Amino acid sequence: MRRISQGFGILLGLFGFTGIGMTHIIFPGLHCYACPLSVTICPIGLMQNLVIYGTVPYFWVGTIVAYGLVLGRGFCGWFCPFGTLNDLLSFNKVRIVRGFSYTKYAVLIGTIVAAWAFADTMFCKLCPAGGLEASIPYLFLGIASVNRPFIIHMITLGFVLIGMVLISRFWCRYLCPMGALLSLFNRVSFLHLKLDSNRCSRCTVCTDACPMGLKPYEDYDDHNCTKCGECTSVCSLDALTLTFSPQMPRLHRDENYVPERIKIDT
Amino acid sequence: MIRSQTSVLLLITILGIILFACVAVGQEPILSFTVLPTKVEIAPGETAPLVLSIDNKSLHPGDDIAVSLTGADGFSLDPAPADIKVIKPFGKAALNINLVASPDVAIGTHDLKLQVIYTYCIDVSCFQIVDEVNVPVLVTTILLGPATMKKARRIPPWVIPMIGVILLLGAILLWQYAGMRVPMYVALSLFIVGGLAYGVMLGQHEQAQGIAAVLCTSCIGIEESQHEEPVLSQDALSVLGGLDTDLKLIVFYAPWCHSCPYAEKMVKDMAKVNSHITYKFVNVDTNRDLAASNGVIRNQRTIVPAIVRVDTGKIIFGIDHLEERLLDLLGVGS
Repeated sequence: MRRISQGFGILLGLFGFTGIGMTHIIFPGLHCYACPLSVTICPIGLMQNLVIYGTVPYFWVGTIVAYGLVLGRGFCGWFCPFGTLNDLLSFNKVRIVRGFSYTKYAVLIGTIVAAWAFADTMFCKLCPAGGLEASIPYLFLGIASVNRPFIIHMITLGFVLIGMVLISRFWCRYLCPMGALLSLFNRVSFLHLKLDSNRCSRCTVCTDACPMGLKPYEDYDDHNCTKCGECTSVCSLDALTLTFSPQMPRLHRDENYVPERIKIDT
Repeated sequence: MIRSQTSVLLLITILGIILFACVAVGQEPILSFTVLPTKVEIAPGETAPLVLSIDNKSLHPGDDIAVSLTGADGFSLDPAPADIKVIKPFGKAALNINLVASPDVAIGTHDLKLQVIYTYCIDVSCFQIVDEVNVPVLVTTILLGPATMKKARRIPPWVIPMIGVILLLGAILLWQYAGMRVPMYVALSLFIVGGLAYGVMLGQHEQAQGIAAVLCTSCIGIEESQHEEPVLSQDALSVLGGLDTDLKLIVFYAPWCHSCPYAEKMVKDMAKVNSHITYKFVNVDTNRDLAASNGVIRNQRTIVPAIVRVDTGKIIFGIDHLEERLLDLLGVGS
């Protein structure tokens, strides 16, 4: 089901093949607007331009909050084409290093500060999605050539691809500024993981399945959770479910509940 | 599980259909003007206050904006309006003008024109634009009064963001410490509705579309910007001298393109070396059909600078290794 949805994300990302031109739509993921077949606007690219022009970004804020409120980081798990690439290269599911996961916020803030300080879209010059979706296609179309900016793009893309192979969802965990933006809404988004403490045996089978390296039975509303639902698929006790409803503040959750260990016959 | 996944897929599908139901719209001019009131009434010998609203919808600042009155016997601007030094990209300005009618001006309708002269610069290349704004004026002895004058009211730019920040902070505090979720969802809904509605009202959706429709090759890291004028090499000068067939080039440029002046200057310099080379500069913003038929606009994304050799239809984009590629285009490359 998720693969179909991710395929849909890629299809919409490349919707220019239909002949439809650029629209006003901000893409709910990391997808370069310079891609020859893109018809949508990259939220990070637009954000930098708005910083450069000193525009108070009402339209951008409205759109990002809408995306965040509906799915939060669910877009990373279900829609984003670059997230899909991360998924396809997720051979090595290792535990997340929580301290490093805040790097993506540094990338987001750095992107804004660099755009303001240099009056240029500095992140785009390093963006691996831009390297993959714009530099390489334009090289084949004869518009780009192998020059210094191209090589820089290829180096960052290569680094991120190696990272993805060694650590599942490496880009999404540690570096993605769009993921950082959407993660701000993870505790309020309608799509969220729900834990039924009475059913959870803390068997950690969900932890082994999580591509973000989380403990879903503890981190079900974590800012890193992409709500991909892998944990819900492997949970034989149906303790974890993906639901679509307003979330409760943590104050109303039973934090101290420790379930009994249930022996599972294997 | 299956039900929730189906609903996510359904939701994304609906969202996608709504999003892609929208279609692209064209680029806006550099500066656009509105005069308020739209119908000006004035008595002979009297003064009428006008407001000229200027909206910069381009990627570049408009500089040294001067306003004067043309084709208007019996009318003057007193005092002469001060020049506006600069309007930032996607910025706005309002200029208060006093239109004065002389005592002997004829009763009836007059079509006045405000002439607006301004410049904008891309790196070292500057362009001067002369634009006109029509101002229909009714000279009458019976004035309807100032009711027809709508005052341009502007909200200070910090007010709405400040309200937003206070709203969000309040919602976060109530969420975190009082466990109340309703204020959070109300605040976020207001952000969505208010942000989108006010953003669209300000034309920010078009601004976003305009930014994305520009393939700025240096911005996304396809090539580097050149800030110095090109100088033809000795080799280029010698091979160009040997060209003995007539060749016509079209240089497609856009006023907002950072790399275009470099390409224009190089073609100009080559044409100076050999008179068999002729060229034409075409602004893609105003000649979209010609640009599209020559492959300069693809999927409504404008790729500039682009140089087309007319007889073969061959095209080159960008300014990377331009001299070498231009000589190849002309058929005299090594």
